[in-house]
Amino acid sequence: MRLPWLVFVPSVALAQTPDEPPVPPSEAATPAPAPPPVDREVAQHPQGKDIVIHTEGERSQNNLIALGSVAGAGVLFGAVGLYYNLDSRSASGDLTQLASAHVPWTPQLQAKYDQAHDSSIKAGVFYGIGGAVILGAIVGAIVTAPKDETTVIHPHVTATAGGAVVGGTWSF
Amino acid sequence: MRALIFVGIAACTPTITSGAYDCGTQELCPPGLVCSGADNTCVDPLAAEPFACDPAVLHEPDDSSTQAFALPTLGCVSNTYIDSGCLAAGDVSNWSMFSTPNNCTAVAVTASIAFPIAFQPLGMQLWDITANQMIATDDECTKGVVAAGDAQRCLEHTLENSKTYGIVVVPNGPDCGGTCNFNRYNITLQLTNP
Repeated sequence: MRLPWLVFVPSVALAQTPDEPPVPPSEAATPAPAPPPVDREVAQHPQGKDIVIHTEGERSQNNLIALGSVAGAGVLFGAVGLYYNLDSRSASGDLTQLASAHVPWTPQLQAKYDQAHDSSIKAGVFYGIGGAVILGAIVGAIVTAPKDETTVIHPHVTATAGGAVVGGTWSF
Repeated sequence: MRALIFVGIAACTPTITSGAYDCGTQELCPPGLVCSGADNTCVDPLAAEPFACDPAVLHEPDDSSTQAFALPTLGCVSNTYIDSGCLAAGDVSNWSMFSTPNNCTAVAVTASIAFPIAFQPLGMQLWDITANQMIATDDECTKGVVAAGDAQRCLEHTLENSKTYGIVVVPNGPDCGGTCNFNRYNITLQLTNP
């Protein structure tokens, strides 16, 4: 989007700019040599350096709370999954250790096997849910990310009779 | 994330290799494995072998007192007689017989039987063959060590001189609904001074 602005500057102000010292009367009487041909467009619209203003977007507090809550829930599910993972690993370790001792299979070992298997499945389910929720939080953060704003001001000066018009154009 | 989940599950699922465990009671084995009759270990179904008695340890026919397998002559305090045996599927008894000397001040028999818990449990009976009467049965052992995966039963009884006795090995417990009505065993017998 571009917005123009214009300011009229009287010729007095232009003539007394510090960059252009007053011309001595002797030199003023002497006819000046013919100026070299200049680009009409440049002469009429001298361009200044663009002014760029960059404004970073900020998340609202509600957005931060919502994203944090979802991510926290994901971490919580992951923690539960980790608990079952460790439980399953412990039971599996016991069974693996006993296997080297060549002992008979008993109902107690079967119960431990079932515990390891069940905990393994629960760990997988909770890891899956936790991962999906955290992924959702990441997607949500991307989707709801506030946009940065960049404003560019293009200043220009147009010489007119008796002064100049200083103008600018915004784009953002 | 999927890979992470897979690693997590893979790391925790019990991995039991074929042959790592002995069969439990009633051919109990970990899921996916079966009890091999050859060595009563839990193995992959493809590697399982059916139970079979080693012909070298059989004394058939030995199913009655008249067919009893005769043990060597034993002294009043004898060395321990050790033998292996096997009850094949459907075999209801294995008879052995021995005689007591005629010059013992006192004599008793101490016997034990050890067998895998995987198949049908076994028991012992002591018979007075002359009277054709059962005079004692096995009991819990109060001493001795048994291998993991095996069970042991013991029998002690005072005897008389100059008599013939029979030791009978019999099935004595559940048989997996008829699918494990067999077992192999090691038997020991010794005459002692009570």
